[in-house]
Amino acid sequence: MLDDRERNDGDDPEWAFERFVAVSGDRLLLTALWLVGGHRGEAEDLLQGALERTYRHWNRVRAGNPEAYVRRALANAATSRWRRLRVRGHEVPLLAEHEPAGPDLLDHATRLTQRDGLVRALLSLPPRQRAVIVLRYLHDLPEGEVAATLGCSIGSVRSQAFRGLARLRDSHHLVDIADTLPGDEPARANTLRRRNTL
Amino acid sequence: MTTNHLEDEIRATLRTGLGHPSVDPGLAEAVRHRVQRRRRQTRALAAMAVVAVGVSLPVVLRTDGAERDSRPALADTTSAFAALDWANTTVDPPAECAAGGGAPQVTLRHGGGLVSGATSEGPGAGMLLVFGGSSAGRFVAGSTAEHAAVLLYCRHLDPGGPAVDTSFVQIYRDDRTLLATLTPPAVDGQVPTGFADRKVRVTGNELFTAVDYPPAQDTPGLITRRTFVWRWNGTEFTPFLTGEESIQVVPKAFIDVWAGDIARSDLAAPQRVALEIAGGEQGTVIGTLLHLHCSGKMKLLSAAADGSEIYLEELPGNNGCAPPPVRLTIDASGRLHYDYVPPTDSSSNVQNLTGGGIFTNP
Repeated sequence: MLDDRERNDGDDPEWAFERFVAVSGDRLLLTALWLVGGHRGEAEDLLQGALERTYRHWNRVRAGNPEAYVRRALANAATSRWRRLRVRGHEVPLLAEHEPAGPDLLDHATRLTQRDGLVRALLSLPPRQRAVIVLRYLHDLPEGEVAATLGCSIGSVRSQAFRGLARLRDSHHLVDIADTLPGDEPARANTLRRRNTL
Repeated sequence: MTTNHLEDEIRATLRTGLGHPSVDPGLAEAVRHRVQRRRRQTRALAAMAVVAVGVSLPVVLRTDGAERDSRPALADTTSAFAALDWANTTVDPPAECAAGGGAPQVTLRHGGGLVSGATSEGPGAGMLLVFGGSSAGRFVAGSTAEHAAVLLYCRHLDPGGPAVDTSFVQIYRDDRTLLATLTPPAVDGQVPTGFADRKVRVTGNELFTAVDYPPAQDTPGLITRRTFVWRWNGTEFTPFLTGEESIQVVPKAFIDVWAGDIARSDLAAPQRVALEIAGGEQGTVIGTLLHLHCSGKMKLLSAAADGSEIYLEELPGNNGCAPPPVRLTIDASGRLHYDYVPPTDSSSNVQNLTGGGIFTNP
């Protein structure tokens, strides 16, 4: 069912904004979800805040790359958030509070590859490393774009990615996944460490 | 684990490990509403500040404020409630929404809310969302305060497919009391599977919904989608049929998790892959491909009405890879045949790959 405007008014900025949210919203929400460590409610807050900032400058933003703009706003907001949390002193890991889609869809994923361990390992990464990993591998962004999004140097992106990957590889959560990976012999985490190369 | 394996696993996990969250269809409108409301508040504060220091108020602000206070509610149905924001509001979901021992109340966040529960079908099947069609609200039962209402709908996250996503639609008055709960109507003895997801809209003071009806036995690849307009008579909403169409969907037999080896013209050796088909309609992402993928997101191109075959297309990856469509069939032994259909058009951007494999349920 098409909205009447869907058929004709492609140049209308309001409609363009709606289309942008419809097309990119899910991907951006997933990004936000990873950035805040899996809290659905906080991810929605983060995304809505980023979209509000985007909408306020929509006429300028839409001429460029709106999704990159929102990603940058999300990353900034996520950084502010974890700085606030750090002052408060704790951040609880969150698998238990996944959005309702989590249990059933996560269950599918678990059935497929026993990937739950890697989810936990990713969520346990420090926020900055997680942000780099998310931008690098969820969006397949080049290092330069990750650096621009996070407002840091390419060298910093490289070192964060290196440390993030190393932590993931060393994580005890990865024992199960290593045992099930195609082409890999069953292995324990400590043997993984010996075999791995970056 | 090699770095490439680890990176592939990270990519796949990032894409699927937290489920497939989707934004509230009313999010863009909620964003607009909040920004505009803040602008109004800023203007009002500026006006108050100007008055406080004894400077005459600009005409445009004075006029705006006076009109807003005295004029009747707008007849324009796309207008949002001027001062009503449903974010972080608590409402009672319909009893049918709260499956099993589900939460008795729903807190809306940006028009969306969350209920958890479990049904006899097991955990997950009973997880429900209540979303606001708009956190700001739209007029669906007249433009006067007496009849003004906002629209919410309850979405059932059953992995069985989009036909069961939206089960109930609730209409609230602007004082947040429940006005009506709509139930999809049966037509000619056909029991509906539910409201079609994301097909709830308000146009011209009227509420439109699309309702899905299950496939006939001999056409498992087609569902019927009927559009209704709901008219308020002062007491209740009555549905009127306004249109009907057939929608190609993934036949139930394909909906499962599959795994197998793919031999492909660009690979030295067959590679193990996994394919999760969650179900859905033509033109939407209906599943996920793992391990040998570009984006991993599989879109339904078409489905044969008799359920014998479906064609899928993997959305291009960020690195420019774009494998050709695949044809899926199920043989008499229940095995899934996965065959690439090379492009016939040489100018196409699609990669010229051949091959395929046979999958089974792991």
